[in-house]
Amino acid sequence: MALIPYPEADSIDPESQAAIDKFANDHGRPTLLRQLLAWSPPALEAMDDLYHPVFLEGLMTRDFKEMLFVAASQARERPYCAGGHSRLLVKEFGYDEDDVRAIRDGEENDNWGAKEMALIDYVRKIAVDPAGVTPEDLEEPRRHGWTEAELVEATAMAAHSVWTTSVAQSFHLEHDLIGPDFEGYF
Amino acid sequence: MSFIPVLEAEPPIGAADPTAVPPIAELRGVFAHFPTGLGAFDQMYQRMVGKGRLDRTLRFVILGASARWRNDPFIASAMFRQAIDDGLTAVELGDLIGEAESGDPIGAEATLLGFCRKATETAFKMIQRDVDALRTVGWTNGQIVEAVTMVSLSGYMTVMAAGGGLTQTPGLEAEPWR
Repeated sequence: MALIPYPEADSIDPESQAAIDKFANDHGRPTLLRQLLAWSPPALEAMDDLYHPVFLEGLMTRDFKEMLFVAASQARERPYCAGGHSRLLVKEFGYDEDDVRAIRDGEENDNWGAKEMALIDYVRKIAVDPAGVTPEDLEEPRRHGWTEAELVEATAMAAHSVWTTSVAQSFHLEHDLIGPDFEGYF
Repeated sequence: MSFIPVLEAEPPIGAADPTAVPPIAELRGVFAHFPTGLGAFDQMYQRMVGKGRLDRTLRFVILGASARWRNDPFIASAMFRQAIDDGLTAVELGDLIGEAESGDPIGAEATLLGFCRKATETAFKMIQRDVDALRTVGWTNGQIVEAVTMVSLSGYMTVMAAGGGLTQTPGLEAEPWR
């Protein structure tokens, strides 16, 4: 069980409950993170306000950004976030499960070339050790053609991963990933 | 030294509470390469800093301390400055951080900060006893969750600052109590 109980349904404010229900309807699975964040409505609102603009808009495609997020979360060894968004890539974007595993682990695969892998390597590093990032870490993706704006978008995916994984790991939401509701996490 | 050019960012729009506007112009200048992302970041910051279950000054202390534990003097100095502007003295701030880092905090705020340090550095080691210790000194579930979301927000800002090279800015005052 998570280290803090999820709030009782009758104690959740209507806006937070609507956000929880919308996620479940959109993705066909419950959201433990949002249920826990119902303890802090400003944080729940903030996370939802952040997610859609950052993932849906910008220069990169949604599925590519999801992959960057998954890679960052996997590098941080956070199974709740990496597993949930890996499931999304398979169920909603049609990716092969083994390909998702390879990409999120930073391994060579048939879908991506050196350009994409250079960016994945950067995202994995900054998600785990931001203080250790050097100018050279950005030079490699630049050398492969990534622009400043794309580097900032990619960095935002790593930042988003740190946001969500900090909550998920601190309260061990991964302990509640059991049962048919979470089929497809890997 | 910035790793990514810092752009001139427009001021945040629609801030209900002007004191909740992000105080970090250079970070917003890096984020300005992705204008939609910058708008979303501004809104997140305003929501999370502008209201909540914890005292706002304590929220700034957590934001700064978590950055400190990530070796990020840029966000640490900015958030500690906000706490001091809110009325905390530099000495009080130093005492609080010192007690939290002692490994054996006694006061409620230092105990919460110690928990946040663990959430920052070794969240995978968190156990039920850590949460129970917070309840013993009076913190509620809502306050505990909110404290960890401050660790989250701090981490978000640290990653963006690191990507821009801002964490290596010389001359930052990350320990204003010294």
